[in-house]
Amino acid sequence: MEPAKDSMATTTPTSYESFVSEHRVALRQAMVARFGVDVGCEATADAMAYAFEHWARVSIMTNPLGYLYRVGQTSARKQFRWSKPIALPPPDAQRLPDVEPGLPKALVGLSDERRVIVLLVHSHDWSYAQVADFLNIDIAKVRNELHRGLQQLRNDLGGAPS
Amino acid sequence: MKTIEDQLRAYGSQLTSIADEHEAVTERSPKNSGGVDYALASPDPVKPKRNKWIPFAPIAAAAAAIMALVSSHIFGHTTANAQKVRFSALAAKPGAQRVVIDELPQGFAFDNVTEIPTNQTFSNLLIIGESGPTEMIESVVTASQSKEDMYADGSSQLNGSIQLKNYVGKTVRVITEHDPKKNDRITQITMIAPLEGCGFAYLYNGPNPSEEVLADQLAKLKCSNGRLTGTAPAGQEVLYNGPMGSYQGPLPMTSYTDGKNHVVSIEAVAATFPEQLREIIERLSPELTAVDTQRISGREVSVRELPGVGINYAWVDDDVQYALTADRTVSIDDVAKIIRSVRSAADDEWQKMLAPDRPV
Repeated sequence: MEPAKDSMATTTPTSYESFVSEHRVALRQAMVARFGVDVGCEATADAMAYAFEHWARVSIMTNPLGYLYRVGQTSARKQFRWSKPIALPPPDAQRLPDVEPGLPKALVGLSDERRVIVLLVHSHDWSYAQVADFLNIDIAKVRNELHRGLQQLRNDLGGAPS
Repeated sequence: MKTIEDQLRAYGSQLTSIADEHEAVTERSPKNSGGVDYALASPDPVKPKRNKWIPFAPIAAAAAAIMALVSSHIFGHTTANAQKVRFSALAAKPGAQRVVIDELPQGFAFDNVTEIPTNQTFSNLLIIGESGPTEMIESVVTASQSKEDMYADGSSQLNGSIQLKNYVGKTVRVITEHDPKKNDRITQITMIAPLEGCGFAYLYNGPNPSEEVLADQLAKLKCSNGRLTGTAPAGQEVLYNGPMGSYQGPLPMTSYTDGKNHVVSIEAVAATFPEQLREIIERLSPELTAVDTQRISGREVSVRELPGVGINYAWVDDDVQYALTADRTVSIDDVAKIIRSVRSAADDEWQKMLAPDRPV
């Protein structure tokens, strides 16, 4: 997996192409965590398209990735009218024999923000600071949400303690 | 059993793989095969899609037209002899006369409509409606503004004809006739009268009313602060039936002019007819079906329609705020434009809030 960039908030890319190459995967990771694979990928593409069309403005933002995350959220919301739940793919039983089959459902059961934090930190190796910058929240909140998210997953799965 | 953290790491790897595959398929799909060539240096180029948001400025004029198209309806349906009748709201700001015709009522015929001579013409007259002929009518009327009599005959769904006659310089009858060969003649009579401060008021009547009835109905209309209020014609209670529940009573009728565009707002209805509106909405709510929903700068805006009837309602933050049109082709983007247009006319801050590029 591709790790997120060191600094989400202060990176000011010199070109759209470099921005895409550096940040698109990170944005997609967050979008997929938030909306599932299909809608997440679509939202990422929409956000990148938006960045392309408004690059002059986006490029000078202090937190362009966080902004585009919001743009992607706006784009994706219409896919989730009337509280339709997101869909995460089931774990591949052959490739991931040790992953609980109920993990995706348990993840969906988390609040949106909590799920994003849990997946970014533990699935995609983002640091707390990166997540805090990206979501524009306090790092203490990241820590708390992560702790509560893992606890909730353990409760839901009846899983092993870490 | 692995720890949750280990499972999440493994599952994240799977998510990444699936996302890569998804993007690879999407990139190869015909859907993304055309369009502008946004050649990127990235090894995994992103082809931006069409921006779903249209910048406000270029569509400002169009939005005003859409306003007239979709927001100048008041609601009201009845079933009588299994025929659907709709009320229309007609209004225009002074100097820009607009006539709006909702879906033509069925089951009523006016066989003895008196043609009233006129020597007054309208300017910028616009006739809009849901059904087939109205677009045709609009174009013909627009092209025939200087003519005293406007006649349109097209090949659209209703194959209708229309004659506009000014009545004593104050009222106009709009007579729309369906092809009698199809035995479903459709006729609507609409009376329009200028009301000071409210542009043109409207009266719709069912079966051929007498002049006295029309005069009586007209007298019931009130204009206050640019807001036209009134009640359904005396003796013509509207029976809601079928998909609209069983509400029976006078139709609230109101219109509102914001000084720039004519708006039929359910807010205005609520202000004037709170009890009726509440009753209607309470009956409608369980049956309203979402057409589309979009988050517009933090406001949840959705269009909901009443199946089988076709009136669209725009809901903002879960409160119905606009009664739109019977035209089911209205999209959420149209609603967004309308709301922007309306709000911008009243409050520039609203326009800023609704700017499409503002993150929520």
